[in-house]
Amino acid sequence: MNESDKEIVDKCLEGNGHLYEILVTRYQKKIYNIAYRFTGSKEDALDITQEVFIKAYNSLRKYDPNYKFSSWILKITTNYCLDIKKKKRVETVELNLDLQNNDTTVSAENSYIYKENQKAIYDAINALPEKYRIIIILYHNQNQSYNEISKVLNLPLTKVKNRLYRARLMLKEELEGIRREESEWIVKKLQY
Amino acid sequence: MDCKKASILMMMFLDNTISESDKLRLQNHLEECNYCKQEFSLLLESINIIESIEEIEPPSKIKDTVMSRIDTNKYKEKSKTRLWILWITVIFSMTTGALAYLVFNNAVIVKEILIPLLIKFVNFVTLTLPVLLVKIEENFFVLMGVGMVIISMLLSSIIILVALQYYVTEKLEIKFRGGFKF
Ligand SMILES: [Zn+2]
Repeated sequence: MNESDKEIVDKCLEGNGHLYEILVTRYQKKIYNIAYRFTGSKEDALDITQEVFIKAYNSLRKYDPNYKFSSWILKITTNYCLDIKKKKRVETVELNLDLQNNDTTVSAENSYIYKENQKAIYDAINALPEKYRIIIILYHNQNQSYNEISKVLNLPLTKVKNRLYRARLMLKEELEGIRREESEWIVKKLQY
Repeated sequence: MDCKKASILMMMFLDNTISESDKLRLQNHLEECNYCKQEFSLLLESINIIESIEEIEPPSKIKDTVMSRIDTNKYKEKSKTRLWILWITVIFSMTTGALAYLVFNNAVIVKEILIPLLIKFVNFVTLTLPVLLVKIEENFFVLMGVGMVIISMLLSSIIILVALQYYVTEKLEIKFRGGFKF
């Protein structure tokens, strides 16, 4: 039951394609969440997740067992995300906050602050250029190491590091901007 | 320490690669420099929020959609086709090998059977062809009828073969790599 990813890939390649289900179950949450953080849309995230798994299955022979399956599928995911973003760059990202998922025991005020912070950071992430956004999601939300990201994105380690540093600063600036707008808004409100 | 160096140390702090002594130096700078203090607190805050964004559950239909859209027999067929190709190659090379062996080791066969046969055939063609042509001219319509029967038999057998091929590939799910798909 607890077969390794590689064993399952081997079995799929021997003709037991139905076992691929196990790999989908193992990685769907990770991929769906990356795609969701990246696109800001649940609909797009669903499409991406499905397409990534189908693409991976159809090119299973290209999988190099010297690498982790999770890295390989992550690579397909990031390529796919960056690809579709290129295609629909002009469209603005619509944000869907799922507030139902939040802890219902927090007080109304706390939940309001939490919601505001979350929204601010979502906006800030979505405002980042793609190549920075993907790195900050992988590093800070998906706990991938520099080595892993460098492998997945096919970038030298120094470049990954530089982009992450720049991404953090951009995010900080976005947050700063949002805070400034908020306080201006409050000041305006107080003036009336 | 200047603000530029402090900024690098902040990044190292976020990477968790900062040394204890550098941490202390950063701390000292932050106490003196309001600009960096503000910067660092915003940085920490943004990173904390990203890291605390909770994962959401993917829709349960993902697995079913994926499994229904992939061909779970994809690689089974491939290995079957490979086996076929292997068998055909083996049989073909064994037959040619055996034939080559026979021909080269039994030159007698070539000399005493194949060559006389060839001579007889050439003789037959050169001697009887003129007579045959006259006969063909005489019985042209009969021969044409026979020819048409043969051609239609050939055509129908080709159609039967194609249908059989279709049945084998589609119903029995055996595919031949490249080509052969009707
Ligand atoms: Zn400073």
